[in-house]
Amino acid sequence: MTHSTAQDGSLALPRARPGAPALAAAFILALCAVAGLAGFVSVAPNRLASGQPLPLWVASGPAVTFALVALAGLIAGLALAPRRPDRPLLVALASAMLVLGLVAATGEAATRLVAEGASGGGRLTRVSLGPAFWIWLVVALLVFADATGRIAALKLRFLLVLGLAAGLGGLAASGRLADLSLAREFAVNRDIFVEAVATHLGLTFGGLLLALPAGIAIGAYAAARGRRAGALFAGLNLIQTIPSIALFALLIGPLTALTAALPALRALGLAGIGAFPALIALALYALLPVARAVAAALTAVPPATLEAGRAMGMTRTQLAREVTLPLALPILLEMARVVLVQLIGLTVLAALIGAGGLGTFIFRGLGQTAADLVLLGALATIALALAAHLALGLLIGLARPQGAA
Amino acid sequence: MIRLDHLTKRYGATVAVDDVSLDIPAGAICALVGPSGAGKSTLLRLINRLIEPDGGCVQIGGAEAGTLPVVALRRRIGYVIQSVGLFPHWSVARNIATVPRLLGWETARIERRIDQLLDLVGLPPSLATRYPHELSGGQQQRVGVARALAAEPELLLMDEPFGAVDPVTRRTLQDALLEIQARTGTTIILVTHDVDEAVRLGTVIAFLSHGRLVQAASPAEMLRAPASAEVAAFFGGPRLGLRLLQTASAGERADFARTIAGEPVEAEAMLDEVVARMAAAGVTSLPVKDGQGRRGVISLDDVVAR
Amino acid sequence: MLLARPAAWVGALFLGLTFGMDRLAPLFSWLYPDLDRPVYTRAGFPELALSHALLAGSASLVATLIGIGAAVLATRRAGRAFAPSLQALTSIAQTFPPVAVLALAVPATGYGALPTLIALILYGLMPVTSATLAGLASVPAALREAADGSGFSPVARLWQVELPLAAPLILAGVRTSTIIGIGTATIGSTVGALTLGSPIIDGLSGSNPAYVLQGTVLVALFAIFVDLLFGEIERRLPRL
Ligand SMILES: Nc1ncnc2c1ncn2[C@@H]1O[C@H](COP(=O)(O)OP(=O)(O)OP(=O)(O)O)[C@@H](O)[C@H]1O
Ligand SMILES: [Mg+2]
Repeated sequence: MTHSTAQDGSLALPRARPGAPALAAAFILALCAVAGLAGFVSVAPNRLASGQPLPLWVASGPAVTFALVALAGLIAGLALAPRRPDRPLLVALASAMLVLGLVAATGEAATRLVAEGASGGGRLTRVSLGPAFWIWLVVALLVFADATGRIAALKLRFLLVLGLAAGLGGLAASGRLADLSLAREFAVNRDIFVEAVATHLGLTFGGLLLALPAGIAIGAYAAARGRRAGALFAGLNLIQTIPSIALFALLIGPLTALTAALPALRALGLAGIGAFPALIALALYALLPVARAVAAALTAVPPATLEAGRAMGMTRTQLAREVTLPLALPILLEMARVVLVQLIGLTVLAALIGAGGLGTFIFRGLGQTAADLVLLGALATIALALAAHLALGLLIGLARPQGAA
Repeated sequence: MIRLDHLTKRYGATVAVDDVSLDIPAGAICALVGPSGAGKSTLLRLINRLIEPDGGCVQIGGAEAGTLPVVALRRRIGYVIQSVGLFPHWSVARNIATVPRLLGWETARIERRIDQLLDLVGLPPSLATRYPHELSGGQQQRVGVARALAAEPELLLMDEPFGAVDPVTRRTLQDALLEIQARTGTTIILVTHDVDEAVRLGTVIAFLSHGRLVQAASPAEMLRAPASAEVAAFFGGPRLGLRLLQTASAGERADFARTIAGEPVEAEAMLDEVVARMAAAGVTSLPVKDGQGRRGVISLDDVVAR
Repeated sequence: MLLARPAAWVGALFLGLTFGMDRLAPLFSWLYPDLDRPVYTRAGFPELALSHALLAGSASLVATLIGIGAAVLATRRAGRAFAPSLQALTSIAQTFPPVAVLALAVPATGYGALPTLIALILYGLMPVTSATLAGLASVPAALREAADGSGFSPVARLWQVELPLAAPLILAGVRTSTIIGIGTATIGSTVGALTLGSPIIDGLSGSNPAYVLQGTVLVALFAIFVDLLFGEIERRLPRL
């Protein structure tokens, strides 16, 4: 039996990308289908009543609909067009414009619908974002992320992301979105929201800071012990296994007993509930990645390389600056990225034990069936996590030595 | 001149280098040999002060090494590390440029030097932009040698520099090293486990065992009169006599008063090659010719004579 | 042999506590004398554990099937072009906090087990997909060529060469996904799903530390038990 390797030996194939046009087709199909069927925004007479979905062309009118569909078509066209080196950049720009256009369209629609007093609610009319908007948005963002990911120049990539973020920020600051229910919810809660973000970041970085001394010590010990440190990491891994909510709650009991027994701790404002257990729980979670990264960073420089450096006549500072740091830095930054993203998400749960943070919005919203509150908390959390992911990604890209395989 | 004066280094209970005294004249190539764990690498590290001695001292060109500024000292000494130790985050070119950059050479000079060195160690210029993990073990080793040679050091310490290269390349590199040495007069201390390499390159061979210097002598002397059974065994035991043939050339033993017919051997050829030619041709004497065109004859009796 | 492993002990302890928690009422009364009801009663612990396990288990199963499927497709010839997109997608999606995903599912689906299941599946997909992509990429190209050279069909190559070699990494991904799933299912009780997290949430909101303790101990044991179980499976994989 002969078998043609050329046919299924897909590895031998050059990096053809027949999928890009397919992706574009899927994109167009999804957008058109959704735009035709589901609600782009939904209008309710007040905060409590359930809303009535309005499709895109009803909510925004034919001109805006046409503009958005044309933009989507342009992206599809670019994807189907013959490959050219600047295609990812063009697709990224077009999809960024689509994202901004979508958000602006919801804002305009909200302003108009509220002014018209649609559905008879007058100024109380609430315009919230519908499933069609979310699907358009998610697809546009995915295309944006995919296209920017294919741009080789790190700085250009970062500039695009920053540009999109600035555009969204500008839209929000201009007041064009003010009539959306999400924006109204934000306006009402502005002060506590800002405070919640601050608390959230405080808890996240506090937990990380708390984990650093122990994590560095454990990592250094593990690096010195080599393979025998496996049991240590298995123990730390167990902590990561315990569901986060359980770890937060588990600490309340012992820490309440501890603060009851030690008045000195109470005098410092520490209690069994609130920020204290939250910080400890977060630090416990951060311990494993921190220790792993420190161990990896410390073993990243082969001893022979260090000896060679010394033998060539490098001073201590030259050796640290030119050899140790470049080799260890990407590992440490990668650690910071993983830990920060994980902790930002986990900090949400701190609200359950009274420590505050963005979780308060999510859980209050869930308790009151107030979708906009939930959205506010969840979107802010995701934005923080994404910002940490992207910012550290940029740092890693800048720090990575080319030789490291 | 390098003078090792009662040099001692201990690691806990092991005495890695035990009261070693040795003079190495300037321009010499000292081949350091001995069983594994004898203290050869430790001795090299004492010379460039990667470690400090527990007793005795090293003198380099009359000055005591311990009193010289250590960083400046090391930049004058080339070092080929046993486990290569290239900087993984730097390209081949950047690795080779390490010491010149530390010394603040200008860019154009550094670049010229890199091209020259790559050629010298037999690597194509295209390798300059590669990273160490993209090289074979032997290529890495050659980059290590180039790096050590980069700033034309007065003293070159080489710890098994050609261990991972194939025999043909090794021979080429040995020739290159001899040529560099002849041109620059650099003093070289070379650790090797390859007895042929020690005999071929060394003007002096120093035999170390358990940290002690057992014997230091020219290759011929060492082979003719090994100081101990261990030294004799190291150089081949019963076959030691065959190595002796590598220490003299045909020209030194030939009789230039007469000649015979046949394909002549070069006067620079070593005696082992002469014997090989005789064995292949089934004869006991061969014609010899030297660089000036003189012709002579060498017989088996001349070869084995002392 | 298996009985001597920690997994067996933790599992036994978990089951014992699940079924015997009611008998420990005197212990909790002694620990927390002020409480009227020292043991959680809204639902029995076996029921909570079963519901938790079903939720996390079914979500993991679906996530595993879809995740492996997507990664396999993205590494075949027809889907090759999607591989970078899929990789980028999973790496970005992994930054989304599970709680946020869970909370976002509520407005779309209402309260109860459904949003939890959706969030669990969505979130569980990512570790499996990225691990499978990594696992398939780790199969040496020479081996794939050897398989082609010896006349394997594409399907046979996938089943007999690529997947077995990628198995350790895929399993690690499923393990991560399942453990995250168990954790997220716990939080699911905040949106009305019945899980071992329910006593924790009810205890926290109703100031009943006994409930909190019961829930946390059980759910922690459950997660550790499952993790150790995966450890056992990993040990039994053929060493390569
Ligand atoms: N840093 C160290 N700490 C403890 N002992 C050491 C250290 N360095 C070397 N030694 C010991 O000193 C002795 C000499 O070691 P050295 O590396 O000099 O041997 P060597 O002759 O270079 O051997 P090889 O031919 O295997 O390279 C050995 O017994 C070794 O174990
Ligand atoms: Mg050595």
